[in-house]
Amino acid sequence: MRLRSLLMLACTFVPSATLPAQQKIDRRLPLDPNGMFKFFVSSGSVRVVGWDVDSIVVTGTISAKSQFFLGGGRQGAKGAVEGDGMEAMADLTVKVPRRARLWIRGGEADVRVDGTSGPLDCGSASGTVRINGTATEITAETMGGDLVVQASPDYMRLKTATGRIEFTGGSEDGAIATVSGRVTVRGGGFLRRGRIETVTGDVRYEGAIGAGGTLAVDTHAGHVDLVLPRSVNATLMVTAAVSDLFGLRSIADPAKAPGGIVQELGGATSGASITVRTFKGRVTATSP
Amino acid sequence: MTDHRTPPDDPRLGALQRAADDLPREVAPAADAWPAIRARIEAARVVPMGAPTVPVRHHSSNRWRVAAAAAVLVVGSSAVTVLVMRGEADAPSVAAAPAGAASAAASFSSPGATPPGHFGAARQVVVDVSDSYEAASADLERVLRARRSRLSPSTVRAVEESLRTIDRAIGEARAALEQDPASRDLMDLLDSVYRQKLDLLRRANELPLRSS
Repeated sequence: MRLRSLLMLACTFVPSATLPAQQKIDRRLPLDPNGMFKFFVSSGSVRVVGWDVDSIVVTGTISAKSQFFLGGGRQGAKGAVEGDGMEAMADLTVKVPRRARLWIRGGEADVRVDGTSGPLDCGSASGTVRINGTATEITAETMGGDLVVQASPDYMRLKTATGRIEFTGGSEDGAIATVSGRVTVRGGGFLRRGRIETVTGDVRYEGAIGAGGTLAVDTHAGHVDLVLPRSVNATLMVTAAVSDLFGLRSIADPAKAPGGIVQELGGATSGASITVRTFKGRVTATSP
Repeated sequence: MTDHRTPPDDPRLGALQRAADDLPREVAPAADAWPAIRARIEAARVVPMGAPTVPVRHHSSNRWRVAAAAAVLVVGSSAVTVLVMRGEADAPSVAAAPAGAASAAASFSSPGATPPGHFGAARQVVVDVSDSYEAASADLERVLRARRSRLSPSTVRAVEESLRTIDRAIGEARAALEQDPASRDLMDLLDSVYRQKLDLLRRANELPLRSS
């Protein structure tokens, strides 16, 4: 009986001794529909959600030793969770006016942005960044985390160091850069200007390219897989040690790509051009 | 295309005309000039609100180092353009690729004859471009070393792993360029990897620091 009581007592105290105590957060602030909002969380996670109300609402929990700040006016506001490491752990949801201009950063925190349509600049040092919405301009980066974007911004810049980059949608002017992360592009692809650069990361481009548009893929050692729609009308220039261009009509023209391969897809009357260069990787291209 | 011009009487004029005809009709811009332009625009941009009051600390000298890196990007890209112009004007020869990269280097080589002096000039451009990038990288790496202990371990791992990957790629590209210094594709790829290195270091040096 005495042993059982001791065990029950231990069970009562162990959770509170190992898990950091938490503070509840529920704060509101007015912000114009296209106002500027900056927010920083050092660790944990933050989810930013666009809504059709001209206010910022922050809810969730932060660890007991961290401090929460939120302030500003109708045209611009900023907030942060300050602390260090586990002491600054946060799990927050931030509702913002849908068209607000956003600057969101997570030190080690995962960042997720859903349903916003204004210009978005977000990133994390080592957390994952996920964006899903209709933002017109997206700049996003993370060092070690993954970067997953589902949107169709006019202007887009995505960067990681080791994390993978996955973009689903279309962009007028897009650039993707990573050192060793795998890059995947699906959907509409790059309509006017697209550029993908990796050092060792593999690239898979499964999308279209706009009439007269350009797509350049440069990688030192990554493999490149292009899956182009049958309707694409472009000149494909490939420079690689190994290439397999399945089902594509070849017109060898060394003058256009010395040392490489040039192919015309669909007659190439649109003037669109795709350039792929990989020093050590393999290039495959298919047009099903 | 048929040339309808009357050959000039003066042989020197003829030589000049032939030299002009040999020049490339157009010069492609450097691999991607936009990052450098954007970096300069960003540096001059008026920020409407101050940075958040969180433990974000920068070295006081970071800004000028980043600006210096941006300048190197511009200089490097211009040098690449010069090399490209020279490379296209004097069709470079196929050179034996170094062991281990033979097939890769061969695919980037261009057929044709090269005047002996051209390789020397092209090699010098490669060395100059590399030296500019290396000098900028060294500055940024010094800043990173000073900040390293206050970055999170997972961030440090990602940055250092990436720098090792980049340095290996630079070594391989330079070895291939040593054999075929006028290869536009190789030079563009080397330029791309160097720009990635500077950008990675710049981003790492702008990351927020832990407060203790």
